[in-house]
Amino acid sequence: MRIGKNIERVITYLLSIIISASIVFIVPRLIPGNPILRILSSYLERGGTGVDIEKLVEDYKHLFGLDEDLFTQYIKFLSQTFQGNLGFSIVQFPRPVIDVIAESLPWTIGLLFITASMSWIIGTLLGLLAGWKGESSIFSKIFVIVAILSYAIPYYIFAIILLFLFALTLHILPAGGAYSVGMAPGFTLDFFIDCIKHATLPALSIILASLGWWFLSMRSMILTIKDEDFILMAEVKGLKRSYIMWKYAFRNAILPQFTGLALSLGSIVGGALLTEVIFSYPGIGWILYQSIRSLDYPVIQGCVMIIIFSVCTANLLMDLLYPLLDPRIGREES
Amino acid sequence: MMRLEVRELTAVYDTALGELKAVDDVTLKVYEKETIGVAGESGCGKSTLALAMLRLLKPPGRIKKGKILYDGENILEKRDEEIRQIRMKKVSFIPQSSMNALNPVLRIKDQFKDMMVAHGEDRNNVEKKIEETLSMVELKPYVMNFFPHELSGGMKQRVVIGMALILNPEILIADEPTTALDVVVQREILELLRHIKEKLGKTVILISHDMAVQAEITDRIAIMYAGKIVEMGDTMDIFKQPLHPYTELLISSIPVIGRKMRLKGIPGFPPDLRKLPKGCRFMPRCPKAMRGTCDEIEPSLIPIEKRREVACFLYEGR
Amino acid sequence: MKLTIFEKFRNVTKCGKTIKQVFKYTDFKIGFILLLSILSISVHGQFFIPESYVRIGAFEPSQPPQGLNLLGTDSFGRDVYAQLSYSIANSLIIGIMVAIIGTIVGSVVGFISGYYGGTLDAIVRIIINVMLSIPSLLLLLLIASFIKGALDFVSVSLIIGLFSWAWPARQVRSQVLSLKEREFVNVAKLSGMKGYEIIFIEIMPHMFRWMTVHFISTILYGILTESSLSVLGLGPQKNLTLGMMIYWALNYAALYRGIWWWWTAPVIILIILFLSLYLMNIGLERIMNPRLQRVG
Repeated sequence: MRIGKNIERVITYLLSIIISASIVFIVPRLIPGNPILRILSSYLERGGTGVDIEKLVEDYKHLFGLDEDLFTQYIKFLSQTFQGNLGFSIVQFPRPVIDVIAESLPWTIGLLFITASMSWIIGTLLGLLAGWKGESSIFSKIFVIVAILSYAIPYYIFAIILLFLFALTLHILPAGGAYSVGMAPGFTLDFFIDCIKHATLPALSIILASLGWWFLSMRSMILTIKDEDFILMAEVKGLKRSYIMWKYAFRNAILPQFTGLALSLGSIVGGALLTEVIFSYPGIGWILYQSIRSLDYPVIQGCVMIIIFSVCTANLLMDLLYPLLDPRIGREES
Repeated sequence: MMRLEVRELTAVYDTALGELKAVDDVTLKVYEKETIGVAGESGCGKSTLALAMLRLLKPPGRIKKGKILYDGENILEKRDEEIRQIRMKKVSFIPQSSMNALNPVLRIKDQFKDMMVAHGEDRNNVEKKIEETLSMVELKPYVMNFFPHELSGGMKQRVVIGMALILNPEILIADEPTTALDVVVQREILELLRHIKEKLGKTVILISHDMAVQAEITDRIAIMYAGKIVEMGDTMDIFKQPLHPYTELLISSIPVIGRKMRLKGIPGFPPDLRKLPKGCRFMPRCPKAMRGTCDEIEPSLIPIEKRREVACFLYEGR
Repeated sequence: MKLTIFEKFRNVTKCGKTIKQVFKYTDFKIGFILLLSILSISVHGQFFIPESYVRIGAFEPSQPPQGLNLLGTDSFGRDVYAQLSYSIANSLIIGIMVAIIGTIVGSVVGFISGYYGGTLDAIVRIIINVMLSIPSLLLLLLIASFIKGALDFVSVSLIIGLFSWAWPARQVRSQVLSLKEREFVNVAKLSGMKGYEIIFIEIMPHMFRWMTVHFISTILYGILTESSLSVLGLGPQKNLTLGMMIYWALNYAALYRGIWWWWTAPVIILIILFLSLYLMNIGLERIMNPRLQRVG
């Protein structure tokens, strides 16, 4: 039973990657005319800027195999993509797309990892307390309202408001970038502090935007579990309330909460992207945004592929790890 | 010797439409080594009574009035830690629907362990006791390594009974231990309860609407209706000659194999405990109701003979 | 008295009762009132403010709220309040279009898959899972950036709709699966009801209520996604939506130049809009799932 489920998950995963890659492949080709060639020709018209246009055109023709039939192109595309060859940036030719992305990934990973986990942990713990203590206190009601606001307001609005308040009005924190202009990147304390300062607002923005949902879902889970018979039994057994909260309520509620994290990865990543854009934070979201503005299609495609790949992989890993948390999976009634 | 006494207990639920008196001025004396049953339809207050006896009532339920004396001490006045120590060690409880009484993410042995540790046992020495208890409830010792969902309903029920026994309490309260089980398993659980009563010599309070079950095990029965006790006495006597009309109907609703009979139920519905009728609560459904008396005053529980009490105007003045 | 299928359907769906019931919940009421207020701003603006206010150069650019301009003017000299009225309507229309596509397609797919089961269901289930695990915003960004020139109302709604059917499909499918097992379908089958009768009288009414809940949450999803696309510059360029207003404001450095009325107006309205839809959604969900009724 367990093997079957896992096989299905892996199939879903592989299909997701392949379908996404296929969409990335097909979309440019559906547009009448070839937008890549269109840009290339517009560069040509403007006389180019020291770029070897001829070579560019040839390389692209070759890369995309535009002279070959569609199916061969597709296979080539798939094999190249999965080997990590994502083509070359048009704007920064001849810089490979991988390079452009690799430079930005550490910023996004750092930001996302820390904020997503902090927000999940804090939200879950607050939700646990709010749910366990009961619904009637004023505290609880205030928290719920704040959480609803957090959930309903999109990431980019939090980003805009924080940017306006703290950076532009109060001038406490920097308005953008990962580090100050003129700062030399390196493993120095100064640089580290500067990075933290710059990351504070984006991080705060993401945390505020995502906290609400974790709080609300954990709280509702705990409220439901509180009514279950095994909680009553735990009291009958003479266990301490705090012990029951952790070992009985929390331990059971954390399961769907974990699943919830896996399910929302996609939207958290989307939100983080928008936040990077608002704060000009040089992560992959910012790169994606810039490449959209300059129509640097290979970079757009590369970013999309990498992000989708990461999210799907993370999802798969979490799915496969879940049975370790939940003893009910994989064991049958004897 | 009296071990547990419920004295004039009133327990209510605060609802949006008013106070619901689930247990109304109930007095019950439980003696050592006896098995006393509390019978009645669903909603008559017996489960609330059981929960109240271990101070397990949660809002919107609360104890409004009365005392619950265990060996002379009122447990309603004790501190939280004291009550926690009493639970399962002096007075244990087997809740309704034990199917769901086990924590899905803990192994059986850990669910025994945390209780035992909370009551002062050494955490490294519990396995032997758990093994013995499981054997006592006729489960193989390896069951303790399982998770609850790996056990059948009957097995889970036994585990819960085992939990109620492992700390060697003097009193056992069983709330509908045989409901929600199929007849074969029911029989097994009943035998187990009988064993507990006879071989282990414990005091048992059996809450059940199933009169057949009550007949098998109990020494005395208290019949509850709409929050009040309406009849009390030795089981044999009550079954031989039920006095209260409600008791009569309850007993006659038990189908008998071999005898061709129409299934008899009790017509009507239990009253709304928030808006009780004037007079006797059973009157609207009572085949022997006497106009002018039964709908005016509430009958009180009166001793008729030695060891027999009834709350009914049919027997007033005897 | 023989009732037509439609009447029977209406009886079981208990539309009227549901509507009355849902208004009892405070959160739904608040959400509904908020929505009405936003709609009234939009209606007022569109009917009472001349259309010329929205044209470039209609007023002095970058003026704070004063006189005729309730909410000031933007860098192009356009009246912000007038823009807001049209944006609200446009955002909602896109949201509704996405919801129609998503709910209808999703419900049909989920229903057929759940009801007929078998291999078809297995395949559809995997497709739904795939659609749900791919972060759709990214593919939308990709598609939108390639058709940048052709981005308008319809195309934006269509591409967002393309990715919005999976969630309703999954919910509807699981509902149908659980309903299939429930007693009353078997009873209906045994009592000789025909296939379509079973579908309409026994199963659809439940589906109908679920579809209503999803409709609202898909509107929310549609507006959220469209505004995200717009802020990144991939929204319906020639139209005014709340997201597009924010886009223009950000692009013309309204934040830095202190033209706060230009961006705060759409931001505040968006916040209220999302809140209202979300609250209404909570209220509706509670009716669907009585277990939730106790919870906050």
